[in-house]
Formats: sequence, structure tokens, C-alpha cells
Amino acid sequence: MNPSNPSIEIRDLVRRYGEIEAVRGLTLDIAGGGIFGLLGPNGAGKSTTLRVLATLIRPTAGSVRVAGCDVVREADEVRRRIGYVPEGADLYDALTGTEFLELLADLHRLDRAAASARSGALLEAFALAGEIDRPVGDYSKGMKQKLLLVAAFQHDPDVLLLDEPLDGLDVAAQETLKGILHKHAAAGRVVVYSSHILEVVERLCDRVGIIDRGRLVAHGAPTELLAAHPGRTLSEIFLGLTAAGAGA
Amino acid sequence: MIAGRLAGLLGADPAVFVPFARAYALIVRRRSRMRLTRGISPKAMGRISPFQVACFFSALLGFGVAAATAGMNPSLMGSALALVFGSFLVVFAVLFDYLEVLASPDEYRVIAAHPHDAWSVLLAKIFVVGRALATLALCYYTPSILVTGFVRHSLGAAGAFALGASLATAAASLGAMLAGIGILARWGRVALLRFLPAIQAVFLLGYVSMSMGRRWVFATGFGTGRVLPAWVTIAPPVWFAAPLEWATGTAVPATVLRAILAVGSLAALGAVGFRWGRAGFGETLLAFGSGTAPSVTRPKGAAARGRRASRRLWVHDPATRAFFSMARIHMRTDLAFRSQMVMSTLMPAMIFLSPSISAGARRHALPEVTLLLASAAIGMAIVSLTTASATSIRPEALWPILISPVERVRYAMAPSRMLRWVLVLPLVVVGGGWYVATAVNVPLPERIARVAGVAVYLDMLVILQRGLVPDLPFSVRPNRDRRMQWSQVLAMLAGFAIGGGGGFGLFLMWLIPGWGAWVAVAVLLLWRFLVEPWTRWRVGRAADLLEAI
Repeated sequence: MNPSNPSIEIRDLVRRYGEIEAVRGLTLDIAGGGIFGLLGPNGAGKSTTLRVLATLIRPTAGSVRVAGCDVVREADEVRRRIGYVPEGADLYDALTGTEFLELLADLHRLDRAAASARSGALLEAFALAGEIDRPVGDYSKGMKQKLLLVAAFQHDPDVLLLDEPLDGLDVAAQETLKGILHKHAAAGRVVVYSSHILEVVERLCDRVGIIDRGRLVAHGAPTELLAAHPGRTLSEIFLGLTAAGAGA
Repeated sequence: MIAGRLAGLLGADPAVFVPFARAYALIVRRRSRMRLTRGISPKAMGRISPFQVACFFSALLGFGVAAATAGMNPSLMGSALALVFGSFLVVFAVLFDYLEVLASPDEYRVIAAHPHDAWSVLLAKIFVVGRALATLALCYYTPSILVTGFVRHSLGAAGAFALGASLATAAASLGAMLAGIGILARWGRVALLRFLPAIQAVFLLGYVSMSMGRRWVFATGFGTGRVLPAWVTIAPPVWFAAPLEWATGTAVPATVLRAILAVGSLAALGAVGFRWGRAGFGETLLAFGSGTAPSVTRPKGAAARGRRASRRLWVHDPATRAFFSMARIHMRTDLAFRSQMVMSTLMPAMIFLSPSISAGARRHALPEVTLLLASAAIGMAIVSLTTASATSIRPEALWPILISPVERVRYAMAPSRMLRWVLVLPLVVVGGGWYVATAVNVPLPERIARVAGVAVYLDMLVILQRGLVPDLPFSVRPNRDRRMQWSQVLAMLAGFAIGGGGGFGLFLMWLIPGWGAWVAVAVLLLWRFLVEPWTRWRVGRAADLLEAI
């Protein structure tokens, strides 16, 4: 994949919640083969943008294509191609981890044995295999996050949409996740990584987009952004470009 | 799966419907928020699922209702009452147990990004919840169906009642689902939590009054006629008694109206549900959790400040204010706590106001009997409210109290202070005043002594019960392991001895003439002051042990 054939194509995206305009005319192309960091202060529109990409909500205006498919007209095809980790989502407490993964594997029409082999490897990697037959209601926050990650990866998606994926993870799981993301990107796939933690984004992502009040205010590789603002750190650039800096 | 093929005929995708139906069936079987398993340890439950326990209690309720209404036959009033309570049961199950399955925004955030179509998911939900409700209704209605068949010696009557019960269940299920989801969509979760206590209170009040009010039903005559009177048409579940009315030859012109209303309501609910389900299901669900759905209007600005200031004016003590804050939160959000509070308030009131007891008091024409009965009712309320105030379905949410500079023993004693002001003082002022004014055959000093005795006894009971249930308010899970240690058993026996002794002293006081009554009051007062340090010691110890929760 290359920038002329972007994997994610957002054109003039607007999303309103009643009178609140969460995203205001966002235009952005994200190519495969790298990890794209989505940065922004609280309420900037990052999660809303990811929800539109993940087909949870429809755009109020504009067009969005993921892996070549329109998120409104071809929503189900988009869903087959993406893996999405929402921020702070609850799971079905009454189901066991295995039952939850089986439900999602069935929705993706995966062969049970193949899905089990793939999720088994991921569960081992995240050190969750021993807990997988316990009800999810008994899981800690970190274990739930690991389960969400395994669920997002088990159908081997082309596009990964991650909203604060490190939230609640222990150090070992964080390193495992970073390794998986790098492999995913190296295979030419798309990884969109939304976070507040600049240090992680700076080290992990190949390109970043900074959103503020629903608009893209900066876009490029971290090194390019640093070169464009000599003598300043990414945090200082972030604060200078966003409302978070205006209030600081 | 046959259900999958049927869902396919309704336009669902079996590849989506079947996995969801399987998952929802597991969820429904494994959880029961109605807390019917309260007090039963998971070990004792063994392989019995919460849903099976719910079925058992539905059957038990069904037997209770069938037994209570059997005596009303050959009148149809008993069958009509059975339909009313069955519909309540269904509404209850939908709102308390299954609404989270039907409409969960968190769930949508997880599954929405996976291949699915909203219509198939909705049908899977309705199929599983509908099957669970049908099973609960079958458990509940079977005794009443059998009673109807036996009493009338008619298989047709039993079948007609079963038909009416099925339609009533369908209508109640659909109505509750649409109303619950509608409230969620329009006003949010907070509004639903505010509606639930009212529904719960009506149900409990109805259930308690059904057995107690039977005599009144017969005494007033309208429960004994062969036909259903026209006025019962105001209760929608009674519309579904129409098949039974026709089967038993007791149909009247109002029966036609009831039948039209029954069929019409079912058709209307079905049409609204179908139309709503086909349009924007997913987006509506997501709006529940996005925080964009309008919430219930709360006082803002000056109004909120005024309300807070007035609370501070009435309740100076921070520990008591903290208790009231926790109680308010639990009244809004804790189903188990709310049930206990409602029952603790209703039961003593119902017993005190029950026709037979008040008739007995009137027959003996003794103000003493009435005052003693009122004291007993208040005593019952003190015992159960103190126990209720210790429980919470989420005791871990107590942390703001534990880390705040609120003195724990004062916080623990706050329910006792509240009960003293809300129950004991009004009884002494109103009931005591009435007794002093009416018991003219007793010398005035004795009347005052008796009222003082009641006041001291109830005050002692407030303190004593706190010592018997020393747990910090809202610190005990309702379904905790109830195994007691020997020390607890001894404490309870000592408590019963002191409380019972006080009650006996109160009874003896009525028999002691002249100034002897004041001696009895003095003895009760002495006991009351002996109980207080013991209670404070128990409460302090429980507060210290709380770090383990």
C-alpha cells in the first residue's frame, strides 16, 4: 500500500451529537505499513473519529472509506476487515472468555479450530490462557483489556483501530502489544493508535495526526514535526497547537 | 437450530442470529439481578442456575396467588387478580433482569465493530428474553390454570385462562420492553432508576394487600359476583380475562370492550416494536451510553445550593449527612436495598392497618391495645430498617466514607439517630398524645408514664438492634455467607434477652397501678443506658474490622 492508495480515507468528516459538533470537517489519509498515532486533548474528537471508522456511528457529513469500503454503504464489509479496541468498554460479565471469543469468531464466520488456534497463541502471548474459562465478570481491568485485544486480533484484520489500548495493561502485556503492532504494520497493514500518552506515541508511531476541537491541526512523522518546530519537544508542540496548551 | 430458520423467515441472518441467541441464552441462565438467590451461598447453589431459582420462586408466587384466589371462585375476580400479578411479575423481570440484555450501550461498543446486522441481534435478544419470560410465566400461571380447571370442572375454562395468560404475558413483555427502552432512550439510565422504585412499591404493596385485603373484597361484595364488574377494565391485565369470561358463560357487554382492548393493545405494541426495531436500533442503543441522551432535570445553580444549604441546616453532623447521601444513592440504584426498605416500611404498616387487627382493637375499645400495636409495628420497622441499612450490593463503593474525615462510629450510629427522629419521636408525640387524650379511665400520671415507657423501650430497641447488627451502613453484601460465629450467636441471644425483657417490662407496666409505672420506666431507662456502651463497643469493633472488605 502507498499514500496514493490510502487504506483509510477521511474526507470532510463532520459528526454532531445534538448541538455538539465533535468532529468538524476532518480530512485525513492513513496509509498501510505503519502505525498512525491519533493525538489530541480530551474532547478533541479522537474517539468519535475512531467510532466512525469502526462503523459504530455514522458520519453527519463527509465520506469515510476503510480498506476501500465505505463505512455507511458497506458497513459489514468494513467490519470484516477491521479490529477495534474501544476505550473502557465493558464485556458480557456472565460469559467466559472462551465463550466471548467464540461468539465473535462465529460472527466473522471463522472456522472454530482455526480461530481457536489463533486466539490460543494470542492468549498465551498475553498470559491470559489460564484465565480464559473464568467468567469475564471476575476479570481485572487489565485482563478485560487483554481479552478485547485478543478479540480484535483473532480474525487477523487488515486495519487495527485502537483507542487507548495500553489502558490497564501490565508492562509485559504492553511490550507484547507493541511487538504485535510492529509486526502488523510491517506486513503492510494499517494501525491507528489513539492515545493521550505522548511518549508512547512518539516512540511507537511512524506518523501522527494532532486533532483539536474536531479539526486536524498537524500531521506528519514525529521527526518531521520536531524539525518543523526546532528546539521544542513533542509535548511543547502539542500544547502549542491545541486548546490544552491555551489553557495551560 | 429451528429458531434460526424462523428468524430467517423474519429477515434475520441466521449466521448472526444463532451465535447471539446462544450467548444471550447463557447470560440469561447465569444471572438474576432480582436477587432471588439472596442468602444462598454459591456452594449450596451447586449446579442450580439463577434462572432456575427464579423459575422456582415464580412457581412459589404462582402457588401463593392460586391459593389466595381459589377461595374467590366461582367469581372471576381471583383469575383477574392472578393475571394482574402475573403481568407485574413479567414487567418486573423485564425491567430488573433483562433490560440490560435488551439494551446495553457497553455491549454495542464491543460488538458493533464486528460483522452483524442490528435486526438479527434484536431478534436474538427478543427470542431469548421472550423464551425466559414465557418459562417464568408458565411456572407462575400453572397453579392458577389448574385451580381454574378443577374449581369449574372444565377443561375449556382452564384452556381459556391459559390463552388469556399467554396473551397477557406477551403484552406485558412487549409493553415493558418498549417502555424500558423508551425511557432509556428519552431520559437515560438515571430516569429508569427513578421509575423502578415506584413500580417496585406498587408490586409489593399489591402483593401484601392481596392476602390481607381478601376479606375486604368479599365484605364489599364486588369480588363475589359471578361476572367481572365493568370498573375492573381500568386494569389492562384484566382485559385478557375475556376468553375465560366467554368460556364460563359469564360474558357481559364490558367483556367485548375488554377483548377489543386486549387485541388492540397487543397489535399496537407489536406494530410499534416492529417499526422501532427496524429503524436505527444500533444508533439508539449507542446514544444511551454516549452521555448525549438527555437526563432527568436536576436542580441547578441557586436551587441546588439552596437544597444543599437546607440539608446542612437540618442535619448538622457530617457523619449523619454522609449516611443520608449514601442512603439516597442506594435508594436510587440498589434494588436489594430498596426492596428491603419498601418492605420494612410497608409490612408493619399493613399489619397495623389490617382490618382484622384494627377491628380487634375497636372491639376491645382499648386505646392501650392500639398504642401497643403501634409500638409493635414501629419496633418491627426498627429491626428490619436497621438490618436493611447495613446492606449494599456494592459495599466497595463505601470508600469515599472510609477515606473521609468522618468518625466511623458516628457514621455507624447515624441510622439509629435517623430512626429515633423518623419513627420513635412521631409515635411518641402523635400516638402518645392521642393516648393521653383518649385513655380517660386511666389517671393522667399513669398515662404519661406509659407513653414514657413506650418511648424509652423503642429508644432502647433502636440502640439494641444496632448492637445486634453492628456492621457499618452499606458495608454488607446482601448475599454474603450467613454462617455465624459463636460470639455472634451469643450476642444475638443476649440482645433478644434484653429486648424481650424490655418488652416484658413494658407489658408489665400496664398492669402496675399508680406510681409503680414510673418504677418500670426507670428500670427500662437503666437497661437502655446499659445497652448503649455495649452497642458502641460492637459498632466500633465492626468499624475496625471493615478494612477487610
